[in-house]
Amino acid sequence: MGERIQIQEQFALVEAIKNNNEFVLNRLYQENFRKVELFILKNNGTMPYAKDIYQEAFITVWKNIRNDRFTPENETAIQGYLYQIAKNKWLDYLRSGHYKKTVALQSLHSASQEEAPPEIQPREDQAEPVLRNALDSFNAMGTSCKQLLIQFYFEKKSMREIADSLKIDEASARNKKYRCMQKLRSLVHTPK
Amino acid sequence: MSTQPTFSQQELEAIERYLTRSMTSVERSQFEERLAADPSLQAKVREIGLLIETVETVALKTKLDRFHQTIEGTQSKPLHTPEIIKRRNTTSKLPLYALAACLLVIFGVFYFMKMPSSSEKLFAKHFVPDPGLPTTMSTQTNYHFFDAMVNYKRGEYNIAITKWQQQMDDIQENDTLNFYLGVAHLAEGNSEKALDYLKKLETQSQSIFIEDAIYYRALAHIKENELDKARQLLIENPTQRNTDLLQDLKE
Repeated sequence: MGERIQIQEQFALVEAIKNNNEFVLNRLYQENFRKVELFILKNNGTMPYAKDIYQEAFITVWKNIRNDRFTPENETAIQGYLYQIAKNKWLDYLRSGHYKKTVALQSLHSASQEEAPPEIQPREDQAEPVLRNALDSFNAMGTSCKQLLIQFYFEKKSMREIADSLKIDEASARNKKYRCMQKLRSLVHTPK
Repeated sequence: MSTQPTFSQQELEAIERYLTRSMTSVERSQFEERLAADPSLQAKVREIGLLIETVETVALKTKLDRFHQTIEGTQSKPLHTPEIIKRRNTTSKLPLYALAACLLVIFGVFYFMKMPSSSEKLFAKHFVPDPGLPTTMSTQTNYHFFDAMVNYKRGEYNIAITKWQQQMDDIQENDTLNFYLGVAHLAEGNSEKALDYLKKLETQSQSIFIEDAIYYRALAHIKENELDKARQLLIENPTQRNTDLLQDLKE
């Protein structure tokens, strides 16, 4: 009985994630970070790595839930799935050529604790290329476009609400959204 | 530049409604009929789907950065020295030195009482556990084997051995299992058991592990102080690595 209720909670969680419910996303993020951080720190990682890997894993889980590629089968399925993905991402990174090169270089330096070792340099340039491209394209747009698209697609606000906040009529807001999407489309397709 | 046809505002709004499941069932089935017959519409649905996903992903990433700021005690700024290292600097080093000195004395006495034999030294110099097989998320088949492989790679040889041993009860002749069970036992210092498993590969001449198995067998013999057996194995199988080991053995 208890198990069934918890499974139902997982389905409710799936629905909330699909709706980008900020409260639920924040709680899921906060509740599972420490465990992932501990795993990465215990396995040659650092805190900035823990953050990057965890966020990549979080986005992957969110995307798989959003696209119906993941259905919970037990009461802690989503949390377990998130941990497993983060763990695999970190193990893959440890096996990657980049990590090995960094470690080899690091051993050439005399290890001074005052200096930040090279392995804790920002990992942003190694973020998944698709995500990197998406971030770059989106950030190249003007602020008003960014806000409008986020409010409509991520926050799931209605066009009426958005039009009211922009103090324009709904038809103009819809047209503006269309132009913003065309702009984003051209930016995504422009070779970087 | 993309050669895909661009979409009209009307198309964008229809596709959005389709993707967000906001259409009525009648509207939806009509749309799906059109979709099945029109490849250019299919391309537009795919493209708009990806653009929406892009917007949502970027918005989520921004949110995650904000969520992270509220986690106490983490260093979210990449250029900071990790807290772990800093913490070590701030504590007093005195007790640590005292402990180090005590340990040095204890180890010193212990070392003279029980000097490792030359064969053990040779084993320690040459033994590096096999790096293992890649384990990825998508490995659906043989989950239990790769689950144990993760333990193996983390140096948890005992756990890996227990898990593999259970699988061994089901299948007898598996060169991969025999090989990794052998190496895991050797890493645990149990050279006798390691030899049992590694010897089983003798009969599997087509195995990709055969060459490595011979090398680890030679090391296990060295650990057992059966230097003649090790020598014989290495002479019979003259690979570069085996010859190097043989050279060291002679010295």
